[in-house]
Amino acid sequence: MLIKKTIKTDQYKFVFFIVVMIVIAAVMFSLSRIMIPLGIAYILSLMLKPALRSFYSADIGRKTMSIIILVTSLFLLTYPIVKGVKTISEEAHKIEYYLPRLESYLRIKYGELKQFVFEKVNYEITFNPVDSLIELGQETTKSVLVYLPQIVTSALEWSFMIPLFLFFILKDERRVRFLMMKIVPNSIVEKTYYLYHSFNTKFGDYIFAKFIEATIVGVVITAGLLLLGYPFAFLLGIVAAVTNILPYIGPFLGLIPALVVGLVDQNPNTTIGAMILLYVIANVIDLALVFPVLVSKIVNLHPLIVVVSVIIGSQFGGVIGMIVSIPLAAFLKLLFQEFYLELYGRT
Amino acid sequence: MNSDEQSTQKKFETSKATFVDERVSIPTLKYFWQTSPLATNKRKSIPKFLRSIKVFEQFTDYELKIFSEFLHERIFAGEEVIIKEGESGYGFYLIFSGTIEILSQINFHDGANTERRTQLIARLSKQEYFGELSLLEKRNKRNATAISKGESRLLAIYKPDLEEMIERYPVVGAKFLQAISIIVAMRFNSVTEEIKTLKDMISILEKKLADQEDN
Repeated sequence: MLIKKTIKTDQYKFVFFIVVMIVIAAVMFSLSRIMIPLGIAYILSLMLKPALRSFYSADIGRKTMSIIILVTSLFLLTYPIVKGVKTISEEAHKIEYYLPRLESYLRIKYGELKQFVFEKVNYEITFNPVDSLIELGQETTKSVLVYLPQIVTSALEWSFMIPLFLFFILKDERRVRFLMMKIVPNSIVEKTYYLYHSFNTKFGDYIFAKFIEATIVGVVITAGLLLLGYPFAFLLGIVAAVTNILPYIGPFLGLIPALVVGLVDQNPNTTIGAMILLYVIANVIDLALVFPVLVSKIVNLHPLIVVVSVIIGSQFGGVIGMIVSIPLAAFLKLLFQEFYLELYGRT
Repeated sequence: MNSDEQSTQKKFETSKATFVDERVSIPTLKYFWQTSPLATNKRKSIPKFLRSIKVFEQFTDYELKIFSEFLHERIFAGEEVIIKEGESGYGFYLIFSGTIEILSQINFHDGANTERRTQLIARLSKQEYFGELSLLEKRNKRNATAISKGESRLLAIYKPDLEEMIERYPVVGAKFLQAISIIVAMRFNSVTEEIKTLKDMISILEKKLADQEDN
């Protein structure tokens, strides 16, 4: 009788816990304006974990530490905007002059190709992809310009909200975690806590490693392009750093804009061969030194699983989905292992 | 100033004086509230409870306060399973109140038949503890089941908390691991004693059997 009552109480607790989780998830999805900066702040808090260790060893309290991080993150978020925007906007302005050149280049090359095919196989290509491509480019530019004020407003809102959320996450995360643990039913408390901790560790370590990796690649490429006297060194460096986050296909995606610039630019100083060699060197450094040391130890996944999870991630969540998919796959592997051990026992 | 104004001023002064005199001193009240034997302050009661446990005797009061911040208070109903034999374990439990029964599945041989029976190994009460191996092993498998007998309050510390404690407060973390080592050593000693007793019993039985065979 008593056992039956206990099981019933545990079931009620379980239902209540599930309901609370569903409500939290529903709130998260409905309030995207708050949840996106909160999510970024949460990821930043996970990335800052290694830095926190040095604070702990210096015997600095949680509150002081949170204030130091708040001030530093505010500075780090605003300083590049003030300083870097000038250089990047100058380069972005130059693109305006490059686009007509790119258009004429594409038209000439397409004409040459058409001529070549006609001469060889006596067939005239009627399909014109250049026009549709240029139209698509114009449409995209237009839509970006329309949404630009909204993007700027969001960026300003985020540059204020992210440090604020980060401050409170660093200061009160443990208190909230302990409070949440109180509503977890006794029967699943140990596993829930362990899995939550594993997910946080994997996710934080992965994002931190990827950030370091992207920074190294970006810096190497920017420095190399500056030395080569290649145009758009900063922009291409940023593109290479961002695309590097995507595994396998990222380095190739980063190379495409550099190739386009090299082909369109008729400057004799622009050496495509040297540029390709630079990209190869940057990726060799990444694959041979950075990746094995930083990333592979965190996510021990089969390459095929990595590719499949990135494709699935891109389908559901775009670029963010692609980034998040790998640590999520690593966590799912851990979850699977846990359930497997529970169901089939240990070998 | 006319007489009306003077009387109003006087009234105001008197009321102000009365207010100052009758004002409740919050710090005094707080002191009496905190020192009252009826007041149960959880923040104070948990370190006080930990102080009464022998394996934590090397902790200072401040270290016990820090250690108590890493503990989760869990309430279990009567007959509720706390940990289950064979399952993965990630937590160490201290009994704050109530009684806990430790049970294990043992093979029972009856002639040619072998059946698994649940046997009571120990009955633990206040100030006792269990599940320490889960904090030490990478993948711990619980080797017994713990069931709450009547309502019980337990203080739990989980593996992630221990890792955080070692990072944030290395001295407290080291002292806690020292306490865990003492517990493991005590368990090891009692197991050794038990093995000795069992060996003695086996040798007595063997001797008896040999005597019977001789006769």
